Amino acid sequence: MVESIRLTFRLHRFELLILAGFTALVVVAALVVAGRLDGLGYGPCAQVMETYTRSCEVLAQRFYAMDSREATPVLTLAAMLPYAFGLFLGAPIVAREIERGTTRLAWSIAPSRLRWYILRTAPIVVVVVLLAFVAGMAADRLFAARSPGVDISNAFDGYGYRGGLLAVQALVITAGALGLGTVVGRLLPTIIIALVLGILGIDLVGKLHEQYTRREAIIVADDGEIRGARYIDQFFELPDGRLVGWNELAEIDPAAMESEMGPQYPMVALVVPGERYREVEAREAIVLTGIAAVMLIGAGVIVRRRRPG
Amino acid sequence: MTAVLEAHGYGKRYRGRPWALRGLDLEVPEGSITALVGPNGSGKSTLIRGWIGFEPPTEGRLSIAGIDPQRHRKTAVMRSGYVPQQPALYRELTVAEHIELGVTFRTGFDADLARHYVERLGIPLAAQANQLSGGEQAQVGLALALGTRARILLLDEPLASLDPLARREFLHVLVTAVRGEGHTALLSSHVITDIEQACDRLVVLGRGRTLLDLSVADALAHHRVVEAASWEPGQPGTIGTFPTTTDERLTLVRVGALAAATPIGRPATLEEVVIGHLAAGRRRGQLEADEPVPGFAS
Amino acid sequence: MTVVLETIGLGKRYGLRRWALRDLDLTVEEGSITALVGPNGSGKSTLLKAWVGFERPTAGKLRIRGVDPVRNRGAAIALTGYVPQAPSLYRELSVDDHIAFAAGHRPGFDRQLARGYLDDLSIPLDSRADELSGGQQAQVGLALALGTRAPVLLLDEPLASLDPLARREFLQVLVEAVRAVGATALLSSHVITDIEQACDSLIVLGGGRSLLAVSIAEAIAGHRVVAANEPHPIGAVVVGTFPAATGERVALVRGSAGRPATLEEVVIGHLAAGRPERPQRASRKAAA
Repeated sequence: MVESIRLTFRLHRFELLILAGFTALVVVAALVVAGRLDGLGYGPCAQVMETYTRSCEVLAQRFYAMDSREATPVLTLAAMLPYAFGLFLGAPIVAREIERGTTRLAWSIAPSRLRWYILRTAPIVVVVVLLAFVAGMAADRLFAARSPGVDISNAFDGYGYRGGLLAVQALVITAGALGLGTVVGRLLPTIIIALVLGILGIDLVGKLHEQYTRREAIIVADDGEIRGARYIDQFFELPDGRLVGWNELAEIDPAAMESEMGPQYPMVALVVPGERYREVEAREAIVLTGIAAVMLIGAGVIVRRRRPG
Repeated sequence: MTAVLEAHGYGKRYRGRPWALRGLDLEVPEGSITALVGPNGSGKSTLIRGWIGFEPPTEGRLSIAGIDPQRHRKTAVMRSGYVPQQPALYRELTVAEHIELGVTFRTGFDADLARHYVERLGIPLAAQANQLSGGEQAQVGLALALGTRARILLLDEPLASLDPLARREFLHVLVTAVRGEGHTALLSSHVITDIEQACDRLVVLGRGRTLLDLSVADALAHHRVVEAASWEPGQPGTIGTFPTTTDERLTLVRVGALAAATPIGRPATLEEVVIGHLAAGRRRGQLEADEPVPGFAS
Repeated sequence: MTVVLETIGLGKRYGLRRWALRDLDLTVEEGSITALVGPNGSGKSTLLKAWVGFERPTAGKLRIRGVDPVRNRGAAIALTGYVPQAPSLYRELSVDDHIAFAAGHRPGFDRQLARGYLDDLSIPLDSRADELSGGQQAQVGLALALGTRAPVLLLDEPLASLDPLARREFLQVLVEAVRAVGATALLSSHVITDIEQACDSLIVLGGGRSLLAVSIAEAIAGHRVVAANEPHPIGAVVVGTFPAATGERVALVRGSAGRPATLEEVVIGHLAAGRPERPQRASRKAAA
């Protein structure tokens, strides 16, 4: 069995090396940039408004410049990693074998296609999840550095672009690309379709989850100080206690809209508090993992039933 | 004898790869149907494509009907009919439409002749190419090449993957057409019985060079096989040793005038002649461009 | 004699109308080396694949040593050493990797045996598959199949695009290995001289049906060749007509008149008979 795992890695050696290298690069970059951001010393300024001095303004400029110049690209790359893993490691597992005709050898040597499938797939999936998890942790560190004063383990900042979710995204895209590959049987079309479906799919799951999470949102006073919360919507509180949005307010009190200072009603926000972050993340992770499991099982079923191509 | 296809010091290599062929000298006489045999990778396809100007030589030069196909590609194409290995037909077009394409793209294309060959084989003109069997597609390819009325036909493994009947019919049409007009044909093939049916000359390539270049009649007259066990290796005339499906190994031996006096073993089949030379070629290892070619003047 | 491979009314249809195999009744006896000949599209590949469960029959049944590959694919595969149509090796893996792969997935795989065959041919075990010649790749495929020590070998066009020497070497290994252990082999091929060298039985397929299924000795003994345009001798049953190697049109007949048929002519004659209806050619040729 060790031999079979070694052979699986050999078959994907090129992609594994490139993607592992790429991940290492992203991780190192994230840690370095995080260190650099921390090193600017902007933290104290950001945390306590009272001590906001002139030098804070200078620091702020530098901080946010470095953030957009260095942190943003690294985080963008980190966010792409799950797609890269899925498309370049997941898709070829079965699709490339079908396309090249090696399934005709493998499935006539191995009496059990299921065992073959597990030995081919599991090592890759494990490696993908591990690499993506490490990248997710590095992204966490970088997000922490770029959000001074925010406890990112209790904040929705960068939700879906960091942390354990990166590993789960990688898992589900890999499972999806693999499954698609068993049906399509050719690598390039699988990659293209999987890319499109992957982007749409993850987006859809995210949106559905957000709708669901809305139900758990609470109203808090919006004094511009809400940190780390997932911001859903913003309302004005009328004296009679009603909450209205901008359009409604324009109908009720047009004059307020035109006054120089803008509407003077107190504002409230509909948010999911940052403390719910871990819980929400875990829930999405479970759903995505469930989807991945279904796809992996489905792919296995297809492998058992289909022609070798 | 006029040579219609020539190679002089021809060499071909792709970047970073070993030479496919090197120092090749070859002349295909007018009016012959010559077979080109050799392992895949021995340069047969490249050589054929070189003669129609598809592939420039790395070294040396080629000549077709007296002209250099690289410098005068249009003329080279005009003077030859080419049948590639995979039928190069347009899947959705009908046979009749392919013939029309021939007329459009080729001056002097004889549509009636092409149609004649197609009909003779019972292939419906209205059939789409992708509805035809592999054998029928090869036949259409041949009909189109014959329709060019070119004096030189170059066929690159046209019979690969055809069943015995399809091959027999293809070669029958080819031989009748070529001999009837005194044209010349060069075809590469792996199947020696086909070569016996159709060809009068045999060229065997291997290890980058010609291993054999002579008429089929001479090849059969000048080779015998003996049991390898009873043959002293290294004797003059030894060509090569190869296995059989029984327990014995055989050695191919070249015999000269002595043959009549003291015949050894038994006459070689054409297949054994080829196999023996291929075995010898393999044993020789790396290219030795200046080793003489075992063709026969006698 | 034990029947090792059989089909009963086997049919396979692709799509709505194309029958690759139709109503096929075949048997292959233990210890035989049988050739499968026929035009592309006649179902040879489909037939071979059916026994390892790569294709499911649309109609009828098939058995390999009594096992039904549809019901029990794993058991059917375990009885078979299958050599798929080339190319089927993993380009990036070495020859020894392929052996390791087989050993890891096939209970009872004999590494030493497989390696032995390749060492005898001086095929380097650490070469990548894509560095090998076509003949060497075919030998690797064969070594893997032989390494399974399966009693039945199924080979799908193993000799296609191989030069005569490579074919000869392949057949030599195959015949020796099969005879040594009394295994049974079924291989598809287009080249009759190869079949004459290696096989003792013959199946000719055409249009998905069996046109001829006999031992080679019977095939040669039972057929003769006469000129096509002459009146046929009494008692001669014409099988089919085709051009002789020398150009004139001949007919393959069963009976005692005419000259002996070569195996090639037997096959060609039956292939001609098995072809879908064609417009008359003989009269046109006579006129031409």
